[in-house]
Amino acid sequence: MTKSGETLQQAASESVKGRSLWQDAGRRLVKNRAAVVSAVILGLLVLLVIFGPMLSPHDYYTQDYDAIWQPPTLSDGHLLGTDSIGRDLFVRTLAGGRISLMIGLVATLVSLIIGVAYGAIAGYFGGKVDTVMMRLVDILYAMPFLFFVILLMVFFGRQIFLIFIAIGAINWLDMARIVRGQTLSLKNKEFVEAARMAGASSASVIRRHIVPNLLGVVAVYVTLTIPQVILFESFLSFLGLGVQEPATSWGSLVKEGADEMSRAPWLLVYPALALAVTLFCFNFIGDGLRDALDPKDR
Amino acid sequence: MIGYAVRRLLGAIPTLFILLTLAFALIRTAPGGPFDLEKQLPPEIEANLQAKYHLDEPLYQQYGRYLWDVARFDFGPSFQYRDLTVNQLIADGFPVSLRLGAFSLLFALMFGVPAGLMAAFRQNRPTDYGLMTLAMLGISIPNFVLAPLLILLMAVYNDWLPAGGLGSPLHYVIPVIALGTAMMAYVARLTRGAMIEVLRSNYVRTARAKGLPTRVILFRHALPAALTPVVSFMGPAAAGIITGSVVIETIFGIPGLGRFFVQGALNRDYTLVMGVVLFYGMLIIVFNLLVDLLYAWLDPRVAYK
Amino acid sequence: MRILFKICLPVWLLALAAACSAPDDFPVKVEPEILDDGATTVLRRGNGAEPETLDPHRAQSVGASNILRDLYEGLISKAPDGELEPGGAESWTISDDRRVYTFKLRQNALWSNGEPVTARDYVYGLRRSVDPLTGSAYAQILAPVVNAGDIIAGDKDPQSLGVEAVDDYTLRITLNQPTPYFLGLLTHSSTYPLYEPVVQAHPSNFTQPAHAVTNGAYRMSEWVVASHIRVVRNPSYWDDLNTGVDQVVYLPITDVASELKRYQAGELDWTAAVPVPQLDRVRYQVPDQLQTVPWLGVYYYGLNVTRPPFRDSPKLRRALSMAIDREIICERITRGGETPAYSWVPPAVSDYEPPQADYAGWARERRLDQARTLYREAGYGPDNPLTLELRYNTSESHKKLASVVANMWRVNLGVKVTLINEEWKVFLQNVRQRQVTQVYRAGWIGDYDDPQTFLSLLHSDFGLNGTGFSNDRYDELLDTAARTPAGEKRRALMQQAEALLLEAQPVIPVYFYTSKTLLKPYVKGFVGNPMGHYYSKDLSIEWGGRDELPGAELPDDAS
Repeated sequence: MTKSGETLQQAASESVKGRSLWQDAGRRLVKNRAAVVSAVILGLLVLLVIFGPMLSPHDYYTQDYDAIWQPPTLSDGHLLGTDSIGRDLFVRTLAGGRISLMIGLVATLVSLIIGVAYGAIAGYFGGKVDTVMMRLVDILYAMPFLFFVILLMVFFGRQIFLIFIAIGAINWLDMARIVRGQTLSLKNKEFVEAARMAGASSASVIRRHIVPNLLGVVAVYVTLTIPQVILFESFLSFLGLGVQEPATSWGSLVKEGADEMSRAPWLLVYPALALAVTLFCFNFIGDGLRDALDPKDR
Repeated sequence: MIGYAVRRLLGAIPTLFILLTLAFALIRTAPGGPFDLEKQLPPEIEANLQAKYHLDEPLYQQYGRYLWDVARFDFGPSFQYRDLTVNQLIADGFPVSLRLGAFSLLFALMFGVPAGLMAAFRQNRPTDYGLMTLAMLGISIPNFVLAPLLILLMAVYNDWLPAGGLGSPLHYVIPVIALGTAMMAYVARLTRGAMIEVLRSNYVRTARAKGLPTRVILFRHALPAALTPVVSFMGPAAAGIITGSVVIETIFGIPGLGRFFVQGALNRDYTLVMGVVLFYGMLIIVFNLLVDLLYAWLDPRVAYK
Repeated sequence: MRILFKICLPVWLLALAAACSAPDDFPVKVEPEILDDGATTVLRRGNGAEPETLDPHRAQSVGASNILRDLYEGLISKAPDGELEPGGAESWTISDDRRVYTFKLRQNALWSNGEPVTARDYVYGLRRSVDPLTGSAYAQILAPVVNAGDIIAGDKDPQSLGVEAVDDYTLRITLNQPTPYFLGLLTHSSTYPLYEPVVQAHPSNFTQPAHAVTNGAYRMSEWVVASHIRVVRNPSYWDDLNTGVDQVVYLPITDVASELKRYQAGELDWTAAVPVPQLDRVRYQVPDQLQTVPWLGVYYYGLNVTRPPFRDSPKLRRALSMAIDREIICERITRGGETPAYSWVPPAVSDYEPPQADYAGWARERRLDQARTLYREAGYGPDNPLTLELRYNTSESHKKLASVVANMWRVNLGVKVTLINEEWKVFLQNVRQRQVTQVYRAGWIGDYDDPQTFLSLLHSDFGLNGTGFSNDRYDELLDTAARTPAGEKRRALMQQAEALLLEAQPVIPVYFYTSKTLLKPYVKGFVGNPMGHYYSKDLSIEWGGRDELPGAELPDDAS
């Protein structure tokens, strides 16, 4: 946090406050073993998803018609078996993970940017601005999200990232509400008043004081939204609106696995396991973050 | 309170109008039309059908006509189910969806709240870990995986329950579990968090210091406060049920509204989609209002006038 | 914390293992639904998607046709094996120039309300079917009838249709030219009679149980959208004595995996399909319940020949066709007894033997060598690979096959294929506009049992030709064949046309369909036929009670 244009005293108090808040939170987070273990697992998973495919002799698109629905074996490198057209499940699961995680991040990021900006502005200015902006949010809340996603799929074809940018663009409502609520309570806090009296512009107050103080809530929100988006992608895959072949995602793999589970259970078990472990980890980290940042309230 | 409710509902009219306009604009710009079928219609026949459904008129005229019809609660004939009107379809499908949704919510609350409370009382003990892990599991399994597993287990390998369709109350059991599990898990987590917070709060401590019996403290003082986040979760949950029910309806062959959403959009059944969108819009608004009123009732600090 | 993971992973694995690494047995509950009176038998039939309408003249889906066949009876009907047999017409005569058909109707045929079925009902039905105001997708079925084309195009009055009620029980139909397959057309639902008073009284909902008047073996009883349709025995039907099943319940189940589970749980007697991953197990565990019947249909990839890279490049088109290993697709991917397609017309079509592509019998290596040679000659190679877009509409099975074909082209020729999954309406529009589409997946199911229904798809006058293929010689051969009476000469003309088509290769046939259904052993009277047209009245449920089956499951009071 820079300190130009503000009184020294206030800057000092603020930086102390900031540092101690985050240090405290960090200490508490490290003590939460579920969150730490989750973070480690998630880290390993991300590494595996990025570098894992290099370890396998197979790639995610090559088909071997002599090895259809082969159960997991160590002998020929099909660690997790093969699917109905003889593709290696291990590599496909990792390739699917790349897409699923990326989708989760992209959509969350989009909704984050829109939501934080929107909520902070509405909360900070209050009054008529707030009323109008929140009215719009209320209207959007009544929109059946699913219908819009389907139509967007129609327009964009299977441009999966465009779609998830779109999902993020629809999904920011919760974020906007939370941020607005926080901003409302923040803006009457002493240090914000002080900054304003010191002549800081609205934009700089929002940027320097409001947004940084929202980071805690936002961090929690992000870790809890990513798994939701990943799950939503799996729902789209169920409808047949998932990613474009031969690329895949955990959602598509789980859907295919669910269809073929009686013939080839491994097709369901391993992608579902990857999906579940990831969602577990994100949720534990989210919970841990929340507890750490807000020890009294929860 | 009644005045507040009325004002909220009246205030929803512009919302619905915008919703309708947006839906109209979107579905009409989507490529393809209701009569683009695999067997292409002869041109004259297609022209006649277009005329019959007024699709040959300029868009603004169609829009005006549609608004006028909607104002009289006439959603028009369905394009996909040609023998039926959208009103009939909604009238037939809604009770089914409502029952499915209500039972699922009930299921979620009935098991989620006690589980959350139990975990809160035994915080950081094996019971807590066990329950919360189960809850996390519930959130992590997509319902299109859970549903077939349940069918295999309860209907195919064991002859306990029907595998699909609707008829007796028994038919609802598996779909309700499949639809309600994720929600139950959320409820359990929310309840646990809120209860832990309440148990640490000053007024509970005061009550305890006064020597009130534990049961009174828990159920008279702590529980209502712990339930407020659960109540505010119900709004989004109801919306979530709509999405979830698409899957459940498809897998179990249940004649609810959820599938019309997807099928209508994919088949360019303009009237059906708009009807269902509008209907759900109204539903969400009413439901959110109910949630807010319930919230006010539970939390005396919140007052609506 | 350790506890947490100790619990979570085993629970997951257990839950999954319990239900899906399932025991190798394949439980199927074998017990029919018999109503409380102990005698009324019910056939519960999986029927694909919910029928869009039960108006025989506007229906087009397979599901709707299945129901309509039970509700109504056309002039001509079909025996269980698919052979034509008298339906509403007892007998008929054909004039010497083969243009005038005179039908003698059954005097004992009645509508479900007890009124007699007369020639006027047929005339009304046929006129309504071609009337553009009706909006029938299948009006073209009647195109051979005098003036039908003009009426469909809106140029003539429906009254001018070449159909005439000579008296109450004599119907005369006049054709533009001899049409050898005309009688077969008369089994189609768009030729069914309708009871005019009820259509006039309830134009938009005469199909509903409250109003419907039908002349088939069954009448409407219940219609709960997206749940079920129930039809019950029609006591007025002239051949009611021979109606087998008393009631039929059609269940609209789109999810084949769910359908199978309901079949296993004893909630269904007859499925519409069998999920591919389960075929092996079904074949092994309950072979007697699996009904595999060749079906008049071809699964193919269409090539847009109006634009590059396929315009004027028959060599490339042939190379792509030859580079597909159809045997592998049928044996390992589709797995349902489909036959590799080396011709355009399915061999199951009656009275016809389709010419085979020259590479049909070649060894794999020779075929692929030739494919590579043609690919090179068309100007492509490792340094200059062809890049292609392959479009398919959203469906798991199309996705799988498209992946396989793309892979074969990549491995065998070096083609770079991009798969594009499009939602149905977008897909249709793109195929029709022929602007962006290069290769698209398609299937064609015969409307009647004659090569004409397949060959005419690529006639340049035919509206559905997504390939843009247009060949004067081909059109001429087909036009001549259409005028030629059935026999050796007509066969030869059509074979010439088909050979020309296979040479030009605007379409790449992949396999010929089979229909795969599961049918409970107590349902008797099923005989497969290549059109997949079945009449429930020909089936019966024979059930001596549970004791009949060794090891039958205990009664279930839930269902």
